[in-house]
This record gives sequence, structure tokens and C-alpha cells, in this order.
Amino acid sequence: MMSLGSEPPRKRLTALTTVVFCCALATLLVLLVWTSSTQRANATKIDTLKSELVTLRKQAREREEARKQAAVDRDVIMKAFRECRTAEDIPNLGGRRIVSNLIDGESVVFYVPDGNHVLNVRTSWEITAPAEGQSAMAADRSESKAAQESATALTEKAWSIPLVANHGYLFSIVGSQREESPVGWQLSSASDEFETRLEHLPLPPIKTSGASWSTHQIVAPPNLVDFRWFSQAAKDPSLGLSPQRPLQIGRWTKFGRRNGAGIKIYFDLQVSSDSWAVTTAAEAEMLLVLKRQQVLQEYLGDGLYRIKHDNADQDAPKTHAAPK
Amino acid sequence: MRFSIRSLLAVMLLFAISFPLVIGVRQTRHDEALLTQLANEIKNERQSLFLDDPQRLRVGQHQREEYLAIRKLRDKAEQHFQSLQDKYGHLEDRGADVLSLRTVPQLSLDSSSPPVVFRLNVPTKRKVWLRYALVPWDNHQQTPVDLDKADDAPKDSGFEHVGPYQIQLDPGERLLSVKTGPAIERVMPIVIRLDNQPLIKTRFSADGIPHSGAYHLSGREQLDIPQSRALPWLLYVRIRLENENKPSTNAAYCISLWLSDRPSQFDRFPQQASAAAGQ
Repeated sequence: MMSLGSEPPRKRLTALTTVVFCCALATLLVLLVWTSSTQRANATKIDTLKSELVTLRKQAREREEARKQAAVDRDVIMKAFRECRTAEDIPNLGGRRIVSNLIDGESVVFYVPDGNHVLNVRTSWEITAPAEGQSAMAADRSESKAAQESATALTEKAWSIPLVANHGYLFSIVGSQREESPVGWQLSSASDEFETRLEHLPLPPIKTSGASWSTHQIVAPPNLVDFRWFSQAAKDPSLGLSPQRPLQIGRWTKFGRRNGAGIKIYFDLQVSSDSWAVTTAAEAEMLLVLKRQQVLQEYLGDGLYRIKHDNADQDAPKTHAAPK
Repeated sequence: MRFSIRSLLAVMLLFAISFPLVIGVRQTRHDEALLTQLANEIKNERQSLFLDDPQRLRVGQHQREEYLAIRKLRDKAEQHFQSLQDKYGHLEDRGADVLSLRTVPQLSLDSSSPPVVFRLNVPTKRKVWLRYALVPWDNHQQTPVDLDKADDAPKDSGFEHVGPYQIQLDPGERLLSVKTGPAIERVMPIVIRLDNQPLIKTRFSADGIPHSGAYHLSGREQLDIPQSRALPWLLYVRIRLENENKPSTNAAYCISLWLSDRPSQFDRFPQQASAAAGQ
């Protein structure tokens, strides 16, 4: 029981409490509504972002898979080239890329696309020291000496062979492991317009005995310039950029023996083409990273870019393999 | 101080509303953290895909065109390879008592090793058996005459099927394929098929990661074996085992496959036996 005298303050307190209650209730309800709507808005945003992330990750996965698939495709081409036993076996691939596979240091199977191409064969050789004891056993010292003199007199020889476009070629070493015989090379093609070329090195007959080689597999456009070359050019501006950048398709060392003396023959095969120097999209990406995108000229299609060089007008190739 | 029921109810009502509010606020904070995290992940993904760099995007598109150009080359090479299979995989008939064989070129379309495939021309006037046995790795280079005397291999050789087994080959052209791997963890599957029907599906398992190699008769050119000559050994499957902190070792036994024209008491191949039982 309360006294009558405390009634007005009590009422005021009750009224105040009611007001506070109502305000608190209203605030809570407003907050509840706001929280709820924020939650709904966030849920929508989360769904949108998640779906965007899924799409982006899918894109990244597809890009990675495409990169891996391209490596597999390249590998399949190389395996198919490895099974070619004659020039007639090499497929007519079309496209705009030179495809080449150096096989076991004995032969190179390659294909050249449309355009004017020349195979540059560079050979050089050196006489290595006779194996211990073998020099003493050499039956004919004078012949050995003559061979050495003959070999050292001329230590390199090079050939340039025009190729017929859109055809495959088989470059193979000529020689024998069983008996001393002239050593050289042969180039054959399935093209009727190409006559098989057989050349011997100006060396006395030797017995060949294996080779030192490493994998050299190429699927690249003629006159490919890679990003490393630009790094080199940046260090040495005198290099310039010629529109002709021969593409190396094989480099290996063949071993031979004659009268106890060892002979090392170095082979270097390059295809030079009269089209513009180009680079691939993969190399272009590296050029962007290196902030050297200014060298990229117009896009030629099939992932190839023409490369800018200083003397473009003077050095322009006679025939430009323009995109079709 | 005293509370009326009404006050109590009012307070309870406020608490009742506050409770979902607190949960809601916590959820909102969690959602906002998640939103920030997602936004960061999207930013990183966009950066890695260079979506905000038009130049890189263009180069990316050109890279896909580069891959497509390589794909076209591969398709032509793959298509052309079939003609090589026909050219270097077919046999000339050499008579009713001559067994001819050669390997058929194979193209692996992934990183695994392709099967070794022999095409055999089994003569009509000669009985020919294909035989399978496990032989000790230390003495694996045995002649088919020695192999015909193969003993049972120990059960703990690591191979599921120890053999020896045999099948008499029907006259005419037969296709024999031997596929090893790829290894799944510590198990190396090995499947031998005759005319695309499995003769044996076996596997090797042991303590270590197995790697296999199928060493076989070259068969690059057609090989003709007249009645006067013994039939040849075809292939052996060697298993190498890799163990951590240990040099790799050869499994004690390897599979050997060979041809013979001498009868023996070997069992039939498991799949052949189960097919016969099913009939």
C-alpha cells in the first residue's frame, strides 16, 4: 500500500516508464527490421559474390586446363612425329607453325608451313685425343695423322637448302657404326618438287659411335622471337631486330672414330624464313610483364603478333605471310 | 523494489525482441566479414585473370587462339597417325606354316605409356600357344624352351596372378596387347588382351611405389618364323620399386610372355577359364 501523497510522482514515474518502454520497444523493433533487411540484402550480395567467384574460378580452371591441354596436344604431335620413318610419313599439318622433333641424335623430322623457307645446315668437327693405349695400337699412324690434318684443315662446312612449303622433311645422318665409311647427311621430302639431297662431310671415312643430344621439340612460327631475346637486346642495343630470326630445329654432337682418334661432329640445323619476325601470345604475355609491350605490332591471328623493329621499311621481307 | 506482472511482461517482451536482434546483429557482422572475404577473393581472382587489364585480356584471348591453332595441328597429326598404324602394323601372309608378327605403332594421347601391341599371323598348319609366367628377375633372359619349363612362382611375388598360364591361338590374324600402369598409389595394374578381350587383369603391389617398363621384341619390321625355327619370346614386364630413403630396386619377379609350339601342362588364363566356366 502506498500513501496518497506519493500518487502524482508515482503516476509520472509510471508514465515515464511507459514512454521509455515504448521507445525501447520501438527502437528494438526498428533495429530488428533493419537487421532483418540488412541480413536479406547481405544474403543476396553473398549469393551474387559467391556465384561471381564460382564463375571466376571456373574461368581460371578452364584457362589452366586449356594451357595443360595445349601441352598435351604438343606432346601428341611430337609422339606422332617420332613414329615417322620416312619423309612420306610426315603429316601435312597446314597451319602457320614449323613443327620439328630431333630424334635420338640421328635424325630430325620437321614440317614447314606456307612461305619461303631455307634449311641451314652447319657442321663443324674436331679431333679429340686418342683413347689411352689406342694411339700406340693404331695400325697406320700416318693415316691417322693424315686424317687429323685433313680434319683440322677444314673444320666446318655449311649448306643452305631451299625447302618446298607445306611439306615434311626427314634429315638423317649418313654413316656406319660397323665399318669406316664416309659420314654426312641426307635430306628427303615427300614433295615431288624436292630432290633428295645427300651430302658428305670432307672427312676421311670414320666409324660413327653414338651421339650426344637433348630433347629439341619445336612447335613454333617461322622467325619466332622470344621474350628472352628482348632482354638480350635491351642489354646490347647493337643487336637490332632483323625481320629474319632463323628457328633452330636441332643441335647435337655426333661421335666417330678413325684409327684410334676420336672425332666430334657438331650439327646445327636452322630454318630461316622470309616472313616477318613474330612472337606468340605466350611470349607476348611475358613481354607485358616486362613492360615491353611497345614491340608488339598488329595481331596476325592464331596467337601470333608481328614484332616491331627499327628498320622495318628497309628490312621488310619480300613476301609477307599475312594472316588469312 | 517491487515489479508488477505488467512490468515483468514488458521486460520479457523487450528481452524477447532483443534476443533475435542480438543474433541478427551477430549474423550481420558475420555476413559482412564474409562479404569482405568474398570481395577480396574476387579481387584476387580478377587480378590473376587480368580481367581489369584490357591488354592482358586481349593477350589471353589470343593465347586461346594459339592453343586452338596447336589443337588443329594435333588433330591432323593424330588423324595421320592412323595411316602409319596401317602402314607399319599390317602383315603379309607368308604361308600356312609361317608365323608372322610385328608391333603396331601406338600413340599415347596422355602422359601414360601406350600399350605394346603385337599383330600375329598364326599359321593354320602349326599349333601356337601364348604363354605367361613369372620368372626371377635375376634370370629373366631365358629362351622360350627354358620358359616352357617355368615353375610356379612364389605366392609372395607381389603379382596377383603367378601363373604359369597358356592359351592356344586360333589360326589367322590375332592382336595381342599388353598395358601396364598407370600405378595407383602402390598398385600397378597390368592387362593383357587378345583380340581386345582381356586374357588376364592382374596387378602388382608391394611395399614401395611401383614403376613398370615393358621390354619387348622390337617387331619394327615383319618377323617371319618358319616351321624350322623356334617361336620367339615376346615381352617382359619389369617392376621397379621406389622407397623413401632407399635406392630403387627391381621386384624379384617379372612377367614374361612368349610363344611356343610345344604342348605343356600350364593352366588356362584366368579370364579364359572364367569365360569357359560361364558357358
